[in-house]
Amino acid sequence: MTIAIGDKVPSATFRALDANGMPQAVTTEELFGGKKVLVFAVPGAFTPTCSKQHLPGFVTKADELKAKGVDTIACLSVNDAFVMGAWGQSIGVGDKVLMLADGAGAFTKAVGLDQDLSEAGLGVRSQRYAMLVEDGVVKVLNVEPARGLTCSSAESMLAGL
Amino acid sequence: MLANVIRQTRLTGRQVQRAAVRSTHARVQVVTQAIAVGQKLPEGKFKYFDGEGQMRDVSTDELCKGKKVVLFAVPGAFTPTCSLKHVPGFVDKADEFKTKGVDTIACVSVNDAFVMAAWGKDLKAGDKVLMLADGNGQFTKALGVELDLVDKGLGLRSRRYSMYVEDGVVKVLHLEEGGAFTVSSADDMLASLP
Repeated sequence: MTIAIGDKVPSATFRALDANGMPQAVTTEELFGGKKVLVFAVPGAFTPTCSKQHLPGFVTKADELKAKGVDTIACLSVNDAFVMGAWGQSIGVGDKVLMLADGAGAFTKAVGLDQDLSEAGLGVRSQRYAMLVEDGVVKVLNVEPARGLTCSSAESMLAGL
Repeated sequence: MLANVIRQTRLTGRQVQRAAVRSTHARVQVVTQAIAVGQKLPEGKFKYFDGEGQMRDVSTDELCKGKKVVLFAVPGAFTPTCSLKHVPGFVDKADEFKTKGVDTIACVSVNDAFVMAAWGKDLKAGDKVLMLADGNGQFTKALGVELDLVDKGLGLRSRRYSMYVEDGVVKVLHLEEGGAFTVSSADDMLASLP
Protein backbone atom coordinates (compact mmCIF):
# COMPACT_ATOMS: atom_id res chain seq x y z
CA MET A 1 0.00 0.00 0.00
CA THR A 2 1.47 3.36 -0.99
CA ILE A 3 1.24 6.18 1.50
CA ALA A 4 -1.28 8.91 0.64
CA ILE A 5 -2.23 12.42 1.74
CA GLY A 6 -3.95 12.25 5.10
CA ASP A 7 -2.06 9.13 6.23
CA LYS A 8 0.15 9.04 9.29
CA VAL A 9 3.77 8.19 8.46
CA PRO A 10 4.78 4.68 9.57
CA SER A 11 7.09 4.19 12.53
CA ALA A 12 10.72 3.63 11.68
CA THR A 13 14.23 4.43 12.82
CA PHE A 14 16.69 6.23 10.58
CA ARG A 15 20.33 6.92 11.25
CA ALA A 16 22.26 10.14 10.88
CA LEU A 17 25.82 11.09 11.72
CA ASP A 18 26.21 13.12 14.90
CA ALA A 19 28.72 15.97 15.42
CA ASN A 20 31.46 13.40 16.03
CA GLY A 21 30.78 11.59 12.77
CA MET A 22 29.23 8.57 14.47
CA PRO A 23 25.82 7.13 13.49
CA GLN A 24 22.94 7.85 15.86
CA ALA A 25 19.33 6.72 15.72
CA VAL A 26 16.59 9.14 14.69
CA THR A 27 13.07 7.81 15.14
CA THR A 28 10.09 8.95 13.09
CA GLU A 29 8.54 10.11 16.38
CA GLU A 30 11.51 12.40 17.11
CA LEU A 31 11.67 13.63 13.53
CA PHE A 32 8.00 14.27 12.83
CA GLY A 33 6.35 14.76 16.23
CA GLY A 34 4.79 18.24 16.54
CA LYS A 35 6.74 19.61 13.58
CA LYS A 36 6.42 20.63 9.94
CA VAL A 37 8.92 18.48 8.08
CA LEU A 38 9.76 18.43 4.39
CA VAL A 39 11.23 15.06 3.47
CA PHE A 40 12.57 14.37 0.01
CA ALA A 41 13.81 10.95 -1.03
CA VAL A 42 16.39 10.04 -3.63
CA PRO A 43 17.38 6.74 -5.28
CA GLY A 44 21.04 7.01 -4.34
CA ALA A 45 23.70 9.11 -2.71
CA PHE A 46 26.38 10.25 -5.15
CA THR A 47 24.23 9.46 -8.21
CA PRO A 48 23.99 12.14 -10.96
CA THR A 49 20.50 13.74 -10.70
CA CYS A 50 20.47 13.41 -6.91
CA SER A 51 23.86 15.11 -6.59
CA LYS A 52 23.65 17.74 -9.30
CA GLN A 53 20.06 18.88 -8.92
CA HIS A 54 17.86 17.40 -6.23
CA LEU A 55 19.90 17.85 -3.06
CA PRO A 56 21.57 21.15 -4.07
CA GLY A 57 18.12 22.56 -4.90
CA PHE A 58 16.97 22.04 -1.33
CA VAL A 59 20.16 23.54 0.10
CA THR A 60 19.59 26.66 -2.02
CA LYS A 61 15.91 26.98 -1.07
CA ALA A 62 16.34 26.01 2.58
CA ASP A 63 15.98 29.53 3.97
CA GLU A 64 12.88 30.24 1.90
CA LEU A 65 11.32 26.97 3.02
CA LYS A 66 12.10 27.76 6.66
CA ALA A 67 10.56 31.23 6.20
CA LYS A 68 7.35 29.47 5.13
CA GLY A 69 7.22 27.55 8.40
CA VAL A 70 9.11 24.35 7.62
CA ASP A 71 10.97 23.24 10.73
CA THR A 72 13.17 20.54 9.23
CA ILE A 73 14.26 19.63 5.71
CA ALA A 74 15.43 16.04 5.48
CA CYS A 75 16.98 14.04 2.66
CA LEU A 76 16.29 10.33 2.72
CA SER A 77 17.94 7.46 0.85
CA VAL A 78 18.52 3.74 1.18
CA ASN A 79 22.21 4.19 1.99
CA ASP A 80 24.09 3.93 5.29
CA ALA A 81 24.72 6.88 7.59
CA PHE A 82 28.42 7.19 6.74
CA VAL A 83 27.62 7.48 3.05
CA MET A 84 24.80 9.98 3.68
CA GLY A 85 27.04 12.07 5.91
CA ALA A 86 29.88 12.10 3.39
CA TRP A 87 27.49 12.92 0.54
CA GLY A 88 25.93 15.80 2.45
CA GLN A 89 29.37 17.15 3.27
CA SER A 90 30.48 16.92 -0.37
CA ILE A 91 27.45 18.98 -1.44
CA GLY A 92 27.94 21.41 1.47
CA VAL A 93 24.55 20.97 3.18
CA GLY A 94 25.80 22.30 6.52
CA ASP A 95 22.86 22.37 8.92
CA LYS A 96 20.30 23.17 6.20
CA VAL A 97 19.39 19.61 5.28
CA LEU A 98 19.35 16.61 7.63
CA MET A 99 20.86 13.58 5.89
CA LEU A 100 18.89 10.50 6.88
CA ALA A 101 19.90 6.91 6.22
CA ASP A 102 17.12 4.38 5.69
CA GLY A 103 19.84 1.72 5.62
CA ALA A 104 17.70 -1.41 5.36
CA GLY A 105 14.95 0.41 3.49
CA ALA A 106 12.37 -0.25 6.21
CA PHE A 107 10.65 3.15 6.02
CA THR A 108 10.87 3.20 2.22
CA LYS A 109 9.16 -0.19 1.94
CA ALA A 110 6.61 0.75 4.61
CA VAL A 111 5.47 3.80 2.61
CA GLY A 112 5.33 1.67 -0.54
CA LEU A 113 7.73 3.87 -2.46
CA ASP A 114 10.58 1.43 -3.07
CA GLN A 115 11.92 0.46 -6.49
CA ASP A 116 14.22 -2.29 -7.70
CA LEU A 117 17.47 -0.94 -9.11
CA SER A 118 19.34 -4.24 -8.97
CA GLU A 119 20.36 -3.98 -12.61
CA ALA A 120 22.44 -0.94 -11.81
CA GLY A 121 23.91 -2.79 -8.85
CA LEU A 122 21.94 -0.69 -6.36
CA GLY A 123 19.43 -3.20 -5.03
CA VAL A 124 16.16 -1.98 -3.56
CA ARG A 125 16.09 1.83 -3.35
CA SER A 126 13.61 4.62 -2.87
CA GLN A 127 11.64 6.25 -5.62
CA ARG A 128 12.21 9.98 -5.96
CA TYR A 129 9.56 11.95 -4.06
CA ALA A 130 9.01 14.85 -1.69
CA MET A 131 6.41 15.19 1.03
CA LEU A 132 5.35 17.72 3.59
CA VAL A 133 4.49 16.08 6.91
CA GLU A 134 2.75 17.96 9.73
CA ASP A 135 2.86 16.32 13.15
CA GLY A 136 3.32 12.96 11.46
CA VAL A 137 0.49 13.36 8.92
CA VAL A 138 1.19 13.64 5.18
CA LYS A 139 -0.15 16.94 3.82
CA VAL A 140 1.61 17.10 0.45
CA LEU A 141 3.00 14.16 -1.54
CA ASN A 142 4.77 14.53 -4.89
CA VAL A 143 6.12 11.31 -6.36
CA GLU A 144 8.08 11.60 -9.59
CA PRO A 145 6.21 9.76 -12.33
CA ALA A 146 9.35 8.92 -14.30
CA ARG A 147 13.10 9.43 -14.21
CA GLY A 148 14.09 13.04 -13.78
CA LEU A 149 13.28 15.85 -11.41
CA THR A 150 9.98 17.70 -11.69
CA CYS A 151 7.33 17.76 -8.96
CA SER A 152 9.64 16.73 -6.12
CA SER A 153 12.12 19.56 -6.59
CA ALA A 154 12.62 22.29 -4.01
CA GLU A 155 11.02 24.87 -6.34
CA SER A 156 7.90 22.74 -6.82
CA MET A 157 7.53 22.08 -3.10
CA LEU A 158 8.05 25.77 -2.28
CA ALA A 159 5.39 26.78 -4.78
CA GLY A 160 2.98 24.32 -3.21
CA LEU A 161 3.38 25.55 0.38
CA MET B 1 14.10 -32.33 21.69
CA LEU B 2 16.86 -30.85 19.60
CA ALA B 3 19.09 -33.06 17.47
CA ASN B 4 22.29 -31.64 16.00
CA VAL B 5 23.40 -33.12 12.73
CA ILE B 6 26.61 -31.89 11.16
CA ARG B 7 27.52 -33.10 7.75
CA GLN B 8 30.51 -32.11 5.66
CA THR B 9 30.15 -32.24 1.93
CA ARG B 10 32.48 -31.21 -0.89
CA LEU B 11 30.90 -28.73 -3.26
CA THR B 12 32.88 -27.70 -6.37
CA GLY B 13 36.14 -28.15 -4.50
CA ARG B 14 35.08 -25.96 -1.54
CA GLN B 15 34.13 -27.37 1.85
CA VAL B 16 30.67 -26.52 3.07
CA GLN B 17 29.63 -27.18 6.61
CA ARG B 18 26.00 -27.93 7.00
CA ALA B 19 24.47 -27.77 10.45
CA ALA B 20 20.88 -28.89 10.68
CA VAL B 21 18.96 -28.15 13.82
CA ARG B 22 15.71 -29.99 14.17
CA SER B 23 13.08 -28.40 16.32
CA THR B 24 9.45 -27.44 15.89
CA HIS B 25 10.75 -24.93 13.34
CA ALA B 26 13.35 -26.57 11.08
CA ARG B 27 16.31 -24.32 10.34
CA VAL B 28 19.30 -25.11 8.16
CA GLN B 29 22.39 -22.95 8.32
CA VAL B 30 24.89 -23.16 5.50
CA VAL B 31 28.24 -21.61 6.35
CA THR B 32 30.94 -21.20 3.73
CA GLN B 33 34.43 -21.60 5.18
CA ALA B 34 36.61 -18.56 4.62
CA ILE B 35 38.97 -18.55 1.64
CA ALA B 36 42.47 -19.88 2.31
CA VAL B 37 45.92 -19.68 0.75
CA GLY B 38 46.28 -22.00 -2.22
CA GLN B 39 42.62 -21.75 -3.24
CA LYS B 40 41.32 -20.23 -6.44
CA LEU B 41 39.20 -17.11 -6.01
CA PRO B 42 35.48 -17.83 -6.44
CA GLU B 43 33.66 -16.34 -9.40
CA GLY B 44 32.47 -12.84 -8.81
CA LYS B 45 31.34 -9.77 -10.70
CA PHE B 46 32.03 -6.23 -9.62
CA LYS B 47 30.89 -2.87 -10.93
CA TYR B 48 33.13 0.18 -11.11
CA PHE B 49 33.39 3.53 -12.85
CA ASP B 50 36.18 3.83 -15.40
CA GLY B 51 38.33 6.88 -16.16
CA GLU B 52 35.64 8.26 -18.46
CA GLY B 53 32.89 8.03 -15.88
CA GLN B 54 31.25 4.98 -17.46
CA MET B 55 29.92 2.18 -15.25
CA ARG B 56 31.50 -1.13 -16.15
CA ASP B 57 31.38 -4.76 -15.03
CA VAL B 58 34.48 -6.80 -14.32
CA SER B 59 34.64 -10.46 -13.32
CA THR B 60 37.23 -11.96 -10.99
CA ASP B 61 38.47 -13.87 -14.02
CA GLU B 62 39.01 -10.71 -16.11
CA LEU B 63 40.63 -9.07 -13.10
CA CYS B 64 42.99 -11.90 -12.14
CA LYS B 65 43.69 -14.19 -15.10
CA GLY B 66 47.42 -14.23 -15.83
CA LYS B 67 47.98 -11.27 -13.48
CA LYS B 68 49.42 -10.43 -10.09
CA VAL B 69 46.71 -8.69 -8.12
CA VAL B 70 46.58 -7.21 -4.63
CA LEU B 71 42.98 -7.23 -3.47
CA PHE B 72 41.93 -5.67 -0.17
CA ALA B 73 38.47 -5.33 1.35
CA VAL B 74 36.91 -2.90 3.77
CA PRO B 75 33.65 -2.99 5.77
CA GLY B 76 32.38 0.31 4.41
CA ALA B 77 33.10 3.26 2.16
CA PHE B 78 33.41 6.54 4.04
CA THR B 79 33.82 4.81 7.42
CA PRO B 80 36.64 6.04 9.68
CA THR B 81 39.40 3.38 9.62
CA CYS B 82 38.75 2.54 5.98
CA SER B 83 39.01 6.19 4.94
CA LEU B 84 41.74 7.41 7.25
CA LYS B 85 44.13 4.46 7.16
CA HIS B 86 43.34 1.47 4.98
CA VAL B 87 42.78 2.89 1.51
CA PRO B 88 45.30 5.76 1.83
CA GLY B 89 47.99 3.23 2.73
CA PHE B 90 47.51 1.42 -0.57
CA VAL B 91 47.32 4.66 -2.56
CA ASP B 92 50.61 5.82 -1.00
CA LYS B 93 52.39 2.51 -1.63
CA ALA B 94 50.95 1.86 -5.10
CA ASP B 95 54.18 2.64 -6.93
CA GLU B 96 56.16 0.32 -4.68
CA PHE B 97 53.70 -2.49 -5.39
CA LYS B 98 54.04 -1.90 -9.13
CA THR B 99 57.83 -2.02 -8.82
CA LYS B 100 57.46 -5.43 -7.19
CA GLY B 101 55.50 -6.72 -10.17
CA VAL B 102 51.91 -6.21 -9.00
CA ASP B 103 49.67 -5.47 -11.99
CA THR B 104 46.56 -4.24 -10.20
CA ILE B 105 45.61 -3.03 -6.72
CA ALA B 106 41.89 -3.21 -6.07
CA CYS B 107 39.68 -2.26 -3.13
CA VAL B 108 36.41 -4.15 -2.60
CA SER B 109 33.46 -3.18 -0.44
CA VAL B 110 29.79 -4.05 -0.23
CA ASN B 111 28.73 -0.64 -1.52
CA ASP B 112 27.40 0.46 -4.90
CA ALA B 113 29.61 1.72 -7.72
CA PHE B 114 28.53 5.37 -7.37
CA VAL B 115 29.58 5.37 -3.73
CA MET B 116 32.86 3.56 -4.46
CA ALA B 117 33.72 6.02 -7.24
CA ALA B 118 32.93 9.05 -5.10
CA TRP B 119 34.95 7.61 -2.23
CA GLY B 120 37.89 6.82 -4.50
CA LYS B 121 37.81 10.40 -5.80
CA ASP B 122 37.68 11.72 -2.24
CA LEU B 123 40.75 9.65 -1.34
CA LYS B 124 42.55 10.53 -4.60
CA ALA B 125 42.82 6.87 -5.58
CA GLY B 126 43.13 7.94 -9.23
CA ASP B 127 44.41 5.08 -11.33
CA LYS B 128 46.44 3.68 -8.42
CA VAL B 129 43.66 1.72 -6.73
CA LEU B 130 40.67 0.28 -8.58
CA MET B 131 37.51 0.84 -6.51
CA LEU B 132 35.28 -2.21 -6.96
CA ALA B 133 31.65 -2.47 -5.87
CA ASP B 134 30.45 -5.84 -4.58
CA GLY B 135 27.00 -4.24 -4.42
CA ASN B 136 24.93 -7.28 -3.51
CA GLY B 137 27.73 -8.93 -1.49
CA GLN B 138 27.85 -11.98 -3.75
CA PHE B 139 31.65 -12.18 -3.99
CA THR B 140 32.02 -11.50 -0.25
CA LYS B 141 29.60 -14.34 0.56
CA ALA B 142 31.37 -16.71 -1.85
CA LEU B 143 34.67 -15.93 -0.09
CA GLY B 144 33.10 -16.76 3.26
CA VAL B 145 34.14 -13.43 4.78
CA GLU B 146 30.81 -11.80 5.56
CA LEU B 147 30.57 -9.40 8.48
CA ASP B 148 27.22 -8.82 10.15
CA LEU B 149 26.86 -5.09 10.74
CA VAL B 150 23.06 -5.10 10.69
CA ASP B 151 22.89 -3.68 14.22
CA LYS B 152 25.02 -0.74 13.09
CA GLY B 153 22.65 -0.04 10.21
CA LEU B 154 25.13 -1.23 7.58
CA GLY B 155 23.70 -4.65 6.75
CA LEU B 156 25.95 -7.50 5.67
CA ARG B 157 29.43 -6.29 4.80
CA SER B 158 32.90 -7.70 4.27
CA ARG B 159 35.52 -8.48 6.88
CA ARG B 160 38.66 -6.46 6.38
CA TYR B 161 41.37 -8.36 4.50
CA SER B 162 44.19 -8.03 2.04
CA MET B 163 45.38 -10.73 -0.32
CA TYR B 164 47.92 -11.30 -3.04
CA VAL B 165 46.53 -13.31 -5.94
CA GLU B 166 48.52 -14.83 -8.82
CA ASP B 167 46.55 -15.98 -11.86
CA GLY B 168 43.45 -16.26 -9.69
CA VAL B 169 45.09 -18.28 -6.89
CA VAL B 170 45.48 -16.83 -3.40
CA LYS B 171 49.17 -16.76 -2.47
CA VAL B 172 49.06 -14.47 0.57
CA LEU B 173 46.05 -13.78 2.81
CA HIS B 174 45.76 -11.39 5.76
CA LEU B 175 42.22 -11.75 7.10
CA GLU B 176 41.07 -9.64 10.05
CA GLU B 177 38.44 -10.38 12.64
CA GLY B 178 35.58 -8.09 11.70
CA GLY B 179 36.83 -4.59 10.93
CA ALA B 180 40.02 -4.72 12.99
CA PHE B 181 43.08 -3.18 11.35
CA THR B 182 46.14 -5.14 12.45
CA VAL B 183 47.55 -7.29 9.66
CA SER B 184 45.91 -6.06 6.46
CA SER B 185 47.69 -2.76 5.81
CA ALA B 186 49.63 -1.93 2.65
CA ASP B 187 52.90 -2.12 4.58
CA ASP B 188 52.05 -5.61 5.85
CA MET B 189 51.22 -6.76 2.33
CA LEU B 190 54.36 -5.23 0.81
CA ALA B 191 56.45 -7.06 3.37
CA SER B 192 54.63 -10.34 2.60
CA LEU B 193 54.93 -10.34 -1.19
CA PRO B 194 56.76 -13.44 -2.44
